[in-house]
Amino acid sequence: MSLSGTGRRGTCDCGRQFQSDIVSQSLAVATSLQRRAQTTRWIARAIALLICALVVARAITVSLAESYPLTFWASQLVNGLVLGGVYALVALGYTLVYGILLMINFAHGEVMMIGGVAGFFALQLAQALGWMRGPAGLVVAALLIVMGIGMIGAMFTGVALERIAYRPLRNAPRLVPLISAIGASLFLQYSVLLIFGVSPLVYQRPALISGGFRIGPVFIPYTGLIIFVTSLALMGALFVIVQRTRLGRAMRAVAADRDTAALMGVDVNQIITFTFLLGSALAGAAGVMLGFHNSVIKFNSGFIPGLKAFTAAVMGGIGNIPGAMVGALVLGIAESIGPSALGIPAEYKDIIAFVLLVLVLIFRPQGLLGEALAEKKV
Amino acid sequence: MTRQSFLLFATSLTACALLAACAAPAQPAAPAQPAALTPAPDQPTQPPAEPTQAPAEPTQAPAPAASPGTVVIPPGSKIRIGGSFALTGPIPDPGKDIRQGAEIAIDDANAAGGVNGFLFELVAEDGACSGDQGTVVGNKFAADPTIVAVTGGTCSGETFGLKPILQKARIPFVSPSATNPAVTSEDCDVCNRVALSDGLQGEVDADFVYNKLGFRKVAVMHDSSDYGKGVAEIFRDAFQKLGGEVVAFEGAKVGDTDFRAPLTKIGSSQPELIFFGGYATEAALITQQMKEVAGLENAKFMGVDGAYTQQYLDTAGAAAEGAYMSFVAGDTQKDKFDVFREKYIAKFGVEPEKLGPFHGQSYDSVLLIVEAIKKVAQTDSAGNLVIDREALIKAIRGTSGLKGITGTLTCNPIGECGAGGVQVFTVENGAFKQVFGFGLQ
Amino acid sequence: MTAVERDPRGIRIGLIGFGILAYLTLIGLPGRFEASAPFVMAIVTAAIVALALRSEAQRHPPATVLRQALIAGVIGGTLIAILVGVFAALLGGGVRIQPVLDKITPPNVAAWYGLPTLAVARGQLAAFDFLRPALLVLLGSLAGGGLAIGLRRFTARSAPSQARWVVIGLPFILLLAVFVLGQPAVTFGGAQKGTLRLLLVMLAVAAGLFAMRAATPGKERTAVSFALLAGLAALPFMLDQFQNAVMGIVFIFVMMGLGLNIVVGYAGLLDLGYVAFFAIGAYAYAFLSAPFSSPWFSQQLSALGLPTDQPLLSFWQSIPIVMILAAIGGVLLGTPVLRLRGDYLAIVTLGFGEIIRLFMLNLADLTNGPRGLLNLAPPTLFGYNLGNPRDIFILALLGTAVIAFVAFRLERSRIGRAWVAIREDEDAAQAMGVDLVRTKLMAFAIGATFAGVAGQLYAARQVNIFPDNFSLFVSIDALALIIVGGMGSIPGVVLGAITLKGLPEVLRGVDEYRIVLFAALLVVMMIARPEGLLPSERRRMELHGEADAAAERAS
Repeated sequence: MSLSGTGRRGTCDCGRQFQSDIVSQSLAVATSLQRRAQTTRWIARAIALLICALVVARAITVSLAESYPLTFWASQLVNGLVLGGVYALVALGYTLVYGILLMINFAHGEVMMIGGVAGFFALQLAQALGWMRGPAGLVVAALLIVMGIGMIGAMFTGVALERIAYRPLRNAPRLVPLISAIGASLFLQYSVLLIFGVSPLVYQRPALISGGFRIGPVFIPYTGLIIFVTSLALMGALFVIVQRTRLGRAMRAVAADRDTAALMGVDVNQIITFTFLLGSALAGAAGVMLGFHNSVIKFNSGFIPGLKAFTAAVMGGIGNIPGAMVGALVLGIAESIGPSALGIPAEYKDIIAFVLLVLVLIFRPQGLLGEALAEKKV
Repeated sequence: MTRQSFLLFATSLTACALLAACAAPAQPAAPAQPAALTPAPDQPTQPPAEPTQAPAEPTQAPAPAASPGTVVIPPGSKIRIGGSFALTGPIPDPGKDIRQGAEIAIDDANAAGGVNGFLFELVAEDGACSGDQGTVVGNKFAADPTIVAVTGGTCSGETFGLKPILQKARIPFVSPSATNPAVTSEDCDVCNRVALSDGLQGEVDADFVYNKLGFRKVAVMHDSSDYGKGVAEIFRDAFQKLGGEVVAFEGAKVGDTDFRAPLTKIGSSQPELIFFGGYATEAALITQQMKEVAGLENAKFMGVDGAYTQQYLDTAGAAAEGAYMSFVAGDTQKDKFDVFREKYIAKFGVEPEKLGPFHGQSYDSVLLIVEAIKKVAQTDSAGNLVIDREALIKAIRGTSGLKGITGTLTCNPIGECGAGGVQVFTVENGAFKQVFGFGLQ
Repeated sequence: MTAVERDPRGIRIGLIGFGILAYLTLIGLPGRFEASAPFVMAIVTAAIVALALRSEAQRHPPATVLRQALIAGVIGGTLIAILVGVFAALLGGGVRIQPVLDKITPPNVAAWYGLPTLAVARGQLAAFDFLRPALLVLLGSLAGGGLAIGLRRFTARSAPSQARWVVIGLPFILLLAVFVLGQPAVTFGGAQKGTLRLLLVMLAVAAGLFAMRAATPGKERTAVSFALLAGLAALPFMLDQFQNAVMGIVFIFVMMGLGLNIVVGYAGLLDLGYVAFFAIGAYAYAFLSAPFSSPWFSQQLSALGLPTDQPLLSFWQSIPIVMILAAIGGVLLGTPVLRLRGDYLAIVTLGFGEIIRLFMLNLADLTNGPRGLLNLAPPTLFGYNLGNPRDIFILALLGTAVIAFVAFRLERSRIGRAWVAIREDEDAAQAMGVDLVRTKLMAFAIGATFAGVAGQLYAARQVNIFPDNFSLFVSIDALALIIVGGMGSIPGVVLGAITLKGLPEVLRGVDEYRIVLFAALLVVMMIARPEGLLPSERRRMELHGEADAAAERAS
């Protein structure tokens, strides 16, 4: 593959003495480089620790000064977990695709948005048929159908995306599919804007899932609970699929080495399509649940969550499924608790997310849970 | 190794420094001053003392050769009035409503024969309710020498984008709906508006919350826009002056959809009411989500004119019941409004109230411009319509006693032309019902 | 191949064609063309079918191609007729589709039938009328088949060898056309004249780039270059305000693209947060020229007893400061990411770009938040105001000339070769003694400087600046323009900027569809010509080399 590193591949075929000369020289260079790398690593670690210490100190002084009640922190934690659940579902799509194709599917956030749009129309239909006012069983079934349609809409988009915008570029240099993905992202956003108009699509929650319940003074909205539980369940299912099934094994094989997997009889195209199907389905589910939770979906609803989810995937260690989930939850909690803990206005939550990303990547490029990646992947 | 590139870098730096030194004596134009363009108000363009060529070539009039201080419209062309409307962005429906109101006004002006046989044309652009798009639209109008005047922008931020550019280009504008107090100012002679300033709205709202509802502890939120933050600050200051306590002043952004984190923070101090300066979607989502937050179960919601729309009711649904909303209403003339409404429905197939509240003001903005153009436009010997920009700016500012849909319009020295007062509504059974303020019997 | 095997191709083309036509209907394109919509839709169909059957026509006899066009037309036409018919029936029955599908209105649907709007709105369609779209698409499809056959005949002939002179002469002919069209006596299509001129101007500049390449290196190329430069210098004086305004923004993006070209094109450091430096330049100039707009600055100034309603420095005096600040920004943002490569670098720089924008959005005391910094001073020279579109265009041209020259020299310098070396293989470059840290930081700093100056000019042109002017989309625009133009190629940057920033302005009439069109173009471009429109020699060889290698592997 064209991605494999060069530079230490060939062995010299020239005279022995000359060779030993070169070897000793390059060894010297290598050790000095290594030493230098080690020192920079230590410096980086020291800086990282310093930053952590500063953040913790700031958080402690602020929370002592503000003296929020414990329930406040608990409520913010709930907010963060729900947010993290949404990010996690989207982040998994990034991680799956990156793991297999080594490309950033920049349009993945839009896949989520289209899932939300498809779910919206399914919901309108269900409401027109009166299912949302029926008995609890019917409502639950209708909600599952709405979510299913959202997932199907997203899956359709994801697969179409792969077929049209990515597959022809599979052997092109890295930048090319990235630009294509950016183009696809814009195309999807503005197509939705043109087709459905500028006004946001408003999800009307059925009575069954509006409101919430209390644990002590902490209020937990039903939609939030559903998001969190569903994302856990879907992630579990995904983990099982990837680790325990034949398809999953084929996926892992393609991720490890596409050419060799093809030689071993794996249909690479089919596996890649399947990967997009899986990732898009999760994103579609996230889109529908986000619609219910936040009430509105519009053409750019997927962009920022997509960016955040990508951040989460990278933070957790891209290509790593539990990593994506951990990264997403950390990000969600940091965003909701961060501003109050650091005593800064809530508008800064996006900055917290991106600063976190930058810090993790600089000080731990392989992500929180990721193993040190081979150079090929970095 | 990098010496050469460093040299290049240094050379270019030095070159710049030299240039700077050379150009230093140039006096930078003072801000907000009419720059460069030399208006010649004393010289009515092309006095009819040259009858030599005029009848010979009526179609070949050298139209673009006019001085920058005037607009010359050759026969057969239209008088182009720019419009900056929030067609996308946070309030697309009210933006559309304002545009359609302006179109009805243009139709009426043309049906009445236009000016000396010249008809009007609305050049609608999307200001997107944001300063950056307003700037884009302003630059486009300023680069187009055929634009005579501008109606808009819809939002305050958008209008702040237009303001310095149009001021420099000497194009007068009348905003139907930008309510931030600073939209008009003493140093801006092209800035006018029909809507009422938020200076009034914020104070009336504070008075209503403090005296009528009897609340003493409120939280204030805004969407960081010029409009939302502006009115939120006025409300906060007025409420504190009355003796009330503002327990939180939190910002969000236009386009946010999850407000639970800032609401949770506000909930920890248990205010009786949340006042939100911003537009409909964000207002509706806050109304919904505050029901889910500890400490805000019984708190009321109050929004301002940017959220006084059908869209708010649709999005917030049942959660909107009991919310308060204020509006800077015109002194609506029932007879004129009914005629307008009929034309509007006939042309666009939708009731104006379904989209937004500012259609009347929009009609009146265009009316104001049209009447001023009628006063200053002259026909020259070649049959061109000549409009002097400075004269038009003065004519708009000099409007007095003009009967519009939203009352009798008279512009004060800084360009506040509107009539009417502030109204406060509450949501009852999914509809707005007035409870306080201007025009309530 | 038997007929049975070939027919699925016709069916597929029919389905794809239906998909595209249905999409165009949903975004409301037929309604835009009103009476001429049936004609336009037939042309679109013909184009789709001709493209799809192009390769088929090379290999098969005309009868086969036509049969497939027929199958495609029948399938696509039937489906479209059903879709539009359903819409028409619903609208005729008084159902309002618009709340759901924004563009499905009577005028849009009626345009498909070539009937007046009222006929659809009142449901007065005859049974035959419902067949119209089907016939239309069928005819278009057959025409497309014919076109595919005809195209094969046409391309079979080789181009004459004098083509070089045509290419070199073309820009001058176009410039002449622009000049003639600008004369008051010349009329062309009434109000559209300005747009046509703008289009011609852009074509002229683009043709000029190709002409330079077509000229033989040496004296001929020098002569052509000077002639072209003279033409370019004459442009600002030939155009009207609007055209100058558009060309001004195009060349501001060229300045920025040239900077990014150094970072991405030469050094291979994928930077998705390049807008940060553009923003630093713009905001630095804004603080210097409109301190009264920033609450914090005006406070400091009044504390120092300085007047707050005056610019601190003039445009020219600001340039060195802006350059230095941007360069510092480049080094500061570049240092932490020295160790990162590829996609990780891309995502961290993206994060930096967003962080800078978010700070500008939220540091309300300093930057006035989303309310922006207003009323910046225009550039002046000897008391003459250079803020009008023409002078901004001239300034942008001058800036581009300086930056292009510096970039050109840098590319061929020692550091330029070091950049290429680390782009090709970082480890090998390091082993050969290239100082990675200094080389990379140099690329970031120089790229940032160029972007900073571009940002300053942009700010002066805009008069007001807002954090939203510096969103991720600007980075994407800048990246897309160097990729569309051809990475690492200076003329490519100019061509890319014209394509991506200029053409959309020409398309003003179809304003709403600009972004969709642009996005689709980006995807198609990446698939059809990933090396860009005007690639650097090296890059083209690389890509084609790789493609050949891939073809070898596949066989």
